[in-house]
Amino acid sequence: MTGRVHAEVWAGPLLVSVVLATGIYLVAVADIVADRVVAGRRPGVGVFTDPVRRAALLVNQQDTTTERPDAALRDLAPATYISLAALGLTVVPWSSTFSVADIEAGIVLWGAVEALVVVAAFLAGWSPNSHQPLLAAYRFVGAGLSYLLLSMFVLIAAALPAESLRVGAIVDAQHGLWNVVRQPLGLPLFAVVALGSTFWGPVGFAGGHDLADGVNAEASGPRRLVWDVGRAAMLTTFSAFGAAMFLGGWQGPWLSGPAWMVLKTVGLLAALVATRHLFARMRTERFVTLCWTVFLPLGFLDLGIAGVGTLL
Amino acid sequence: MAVEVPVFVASGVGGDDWAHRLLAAPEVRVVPTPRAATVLFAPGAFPGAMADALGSVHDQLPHPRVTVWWPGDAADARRPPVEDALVLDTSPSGPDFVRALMSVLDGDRDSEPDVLSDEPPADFEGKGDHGQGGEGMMGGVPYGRPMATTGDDRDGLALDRLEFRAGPFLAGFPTGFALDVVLQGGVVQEARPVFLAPAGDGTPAPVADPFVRARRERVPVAHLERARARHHLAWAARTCWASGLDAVARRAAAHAVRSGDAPAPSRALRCLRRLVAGSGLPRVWEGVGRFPASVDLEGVGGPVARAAGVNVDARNDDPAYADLAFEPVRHDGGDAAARLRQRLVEAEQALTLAARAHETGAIHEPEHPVEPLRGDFSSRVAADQFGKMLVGFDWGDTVITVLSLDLPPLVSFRRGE
Repeated sequence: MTGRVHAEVWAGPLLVSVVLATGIYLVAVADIVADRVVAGRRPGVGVFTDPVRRAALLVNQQDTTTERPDAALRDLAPATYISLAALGLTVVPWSSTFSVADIEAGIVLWGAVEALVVVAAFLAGWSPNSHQPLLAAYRFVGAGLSYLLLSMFVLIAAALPAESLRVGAIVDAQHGLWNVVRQPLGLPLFAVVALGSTFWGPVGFAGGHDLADGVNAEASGPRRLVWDVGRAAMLTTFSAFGAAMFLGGWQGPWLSGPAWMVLKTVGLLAALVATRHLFARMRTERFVTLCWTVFLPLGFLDLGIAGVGTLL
Repeated sequence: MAVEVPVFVASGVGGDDWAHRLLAAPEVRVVPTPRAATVLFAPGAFPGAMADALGSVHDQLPHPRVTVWWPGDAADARRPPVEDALVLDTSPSGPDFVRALMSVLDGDRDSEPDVLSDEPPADFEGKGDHGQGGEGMMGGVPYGRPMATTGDDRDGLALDRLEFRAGPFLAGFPTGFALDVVLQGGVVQEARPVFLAPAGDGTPAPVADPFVRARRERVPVAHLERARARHHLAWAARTCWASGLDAVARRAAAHAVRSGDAPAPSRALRCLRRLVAGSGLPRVWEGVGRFPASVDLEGVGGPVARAAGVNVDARNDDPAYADLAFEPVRHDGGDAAARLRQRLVEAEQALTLAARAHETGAIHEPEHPVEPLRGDFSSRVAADQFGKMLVGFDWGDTVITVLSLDLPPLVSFRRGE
């Protein structure tokens, strides 16, 4: 079974849109809940409407501009970023028979998405013609290579038991034993990649209060909203992909496949969102050192474990 | 309508105590860039260069925007250069900012016009064939702003040299403090501290401050130590916020505000310390921001010296503390992490001392020196020394260093080396 259902041509874009829209809203709610709980306050029922209020306030604000920005790239950067989030979601299977584009080289497509995220983030820092965004973009690219390499090893390791680069096959190969159990290093290391690519929490090098919010330092109003939406969309995509690669995807008892995918995606999403409120952003130099001396060797170990497991 | 008001805080002279209080207000969300704010909060006075800097920040706020000014205790405080600023006559609170936001959203107030004119600071001076300034395609000072040119960095790589001023309203910078820096690829090549409002610029010291009163009159030790705890917790709040830990910062700010009501260290305060430790912030700060050996740390004193293992604390010789079982706390390392741990421990210790002093009625006599909240940087650290210390630092490490020192508002370093 190829994991592809014959559906109307509009089904794919509709699924991606619905998943991303829901994920964006859930990221906003989870972010507010985590913020209030860690701050020692009660979340309250307002957490469900506060994201809408924040968005309304941003839409109502002026879209300011800096002096002589690179206007075309300034618009291209968030458009590229959101498009990449949508593209990455297409290879995620939502049941045994349905995904938007369960291609034979799904992992390769995902790798391309991750690499192009670096380009989108650098364009975001370059285009306003301002110091803080540019420095944040430098910082992001400087650290990016380290965790992108990590991503390669972790995803290849997850693909080894399936002997395929197709995400649907990788999910099928987790029948009876999820990758998070047989390759325990995979999901934590993938989480590092997810946080880096979404400028979030301890690996949020493209942001930071020390650079007045980094690549978004000059973004206001609707443009800021678009970036917030984009990051939430990318978090959703990474969570869905992580659920497929490491948590058995749509597989599980009693509930339908899509229901399990949704539950696992939401669980991973909540954990990723919470990291921003619990962990300080690492120093770039320390992170790069940690990546090359600890995380990458662990990635090799993860690959080795997967290889031995496949041979046995 | 319940909404978190996005506020950018630009503290003027005498207004530095308000940043952490705003973090504790549930109605307010303090943002790191003026582009994300609707309300500009400007506590304190804004003389001279501070007024120019505030005008520049003000004009970056998107419309609709409103400035809230709190002049504080100074009756003749120089107001910010925003004519239509909303002036508070009582201590700021969260609802004040909600009212300010709603007043512009509902149209009761017009959005404030720009303070500065939208003109370049100087004429364009073209040199090249295409009107560019400087050498070849780059460089020069077009419109009065230095453009990046390539230059060798410490590793011999030819990278663009970015020259700009950071501050005075950047996250974590003390009032009136800015840095003129040259960066290459995010690493500091040159740094020069700039003091935009040297101390004594017409602003009176707050008379209610127990540390000011303690120099001339008898003050209960409990008051001093509660104020010390409040100060260190407020610093922790600002530091966590500047490090991106917004939620932990809010919790610390709430503790700072409440520390006057709950004199004894509580389980909640210990929970805060665990959150800070668990966030990894001390580990992140390890090895950053040590002073060079040429700086006289014993002369600097305060938590910075004690964090480097120097046993200097005026409370050692104060008889009022003898009955309170006071033991000075010290850490090793002298780096930013040691300073962070030092202040959190001292905050908890201060509340313990305050509780004991409350029971015994201990009084500090003015003839004994009072242990200050911060060290003495102005006479012990040279501007050149500080600038050279930052060379080779990543920009993030530079901000960590400034944060960890808890420089006083209106600090200025001595000239020379």
